[in-house]
Amino acid sequence: MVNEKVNIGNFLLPRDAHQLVSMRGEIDWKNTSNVILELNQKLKDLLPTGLRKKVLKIATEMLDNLVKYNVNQPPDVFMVLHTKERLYFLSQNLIKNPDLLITLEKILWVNELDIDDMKAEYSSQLKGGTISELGGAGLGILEMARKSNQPIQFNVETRDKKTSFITLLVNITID
Amino acid sequence: MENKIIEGDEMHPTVNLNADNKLMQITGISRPENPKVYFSSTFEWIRNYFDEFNHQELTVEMTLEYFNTASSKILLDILELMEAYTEKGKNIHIIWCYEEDDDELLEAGEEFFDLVEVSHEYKIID
Repeated sequence: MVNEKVNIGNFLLPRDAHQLVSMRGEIDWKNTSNVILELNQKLKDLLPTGLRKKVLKIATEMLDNLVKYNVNQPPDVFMVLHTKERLYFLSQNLIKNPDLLITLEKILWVNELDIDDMKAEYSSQLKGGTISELGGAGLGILEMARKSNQPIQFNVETRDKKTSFITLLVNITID
Repeated sequence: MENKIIEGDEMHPTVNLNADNKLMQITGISRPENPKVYFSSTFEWIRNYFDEFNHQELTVEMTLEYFNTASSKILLDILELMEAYTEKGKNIHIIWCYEEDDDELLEAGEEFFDLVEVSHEYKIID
């Protein structure tokens, strides 16, 4: 029997998923912007404008999280994979355990919300929130879930008392 | 009052603050490392424009390619400032520009204008 799935980052993804963009190693604002620009260029022939912008938002929030919460110990990983029906966004990085807890708490919370709840929460937090010292609005996880309209999948491996290795997978239907 | 242009790049929008033409434009991609820092001089210019130089009118054109959630917060802060000056009697109008098939950007505009009461229109661009 032919195996239709392949293990990528501890997630089983369709074997026909091919890579649109990827980066590995030290991640910063500059090189992540270049990846977003590359993704934008590649999507221009694949997706209508509105859906392309939605995809760029998911990629941007995932990369913003990588840049803000990585602990400067490469390799960080980001990739976007493409099948006929879906796009998959995958990130892997070391994260401080206190930041991990906050991230997991948010993921578990948004995964329970339906699309209307997510929209209402986004508006409420946008109106009432502030920009943190790191320059974030604390809305990245919610925005990834809202734009993909799919639960955020995650995998965590504890590295030591201070850090863990986290993998996130977001997917969006494009057909 | 001096006009001011903040030149953008692949991460930052261009901000054109033109007192002579009573026009403010924000154009491009917005993903600055810290949007509060990037837009601080814009907020200062707006406050001076209305408070110190006592201008009565301003048109704000927003033509964004895409933006991150931190930028969303700052854009809402700008719109809330415009709402506050509208309540003080200033004549402010926002033009939210988007490409015809960009329902994502149109929806982002609609979400903003659900949260603030300020004169606005949606404009389709090429």
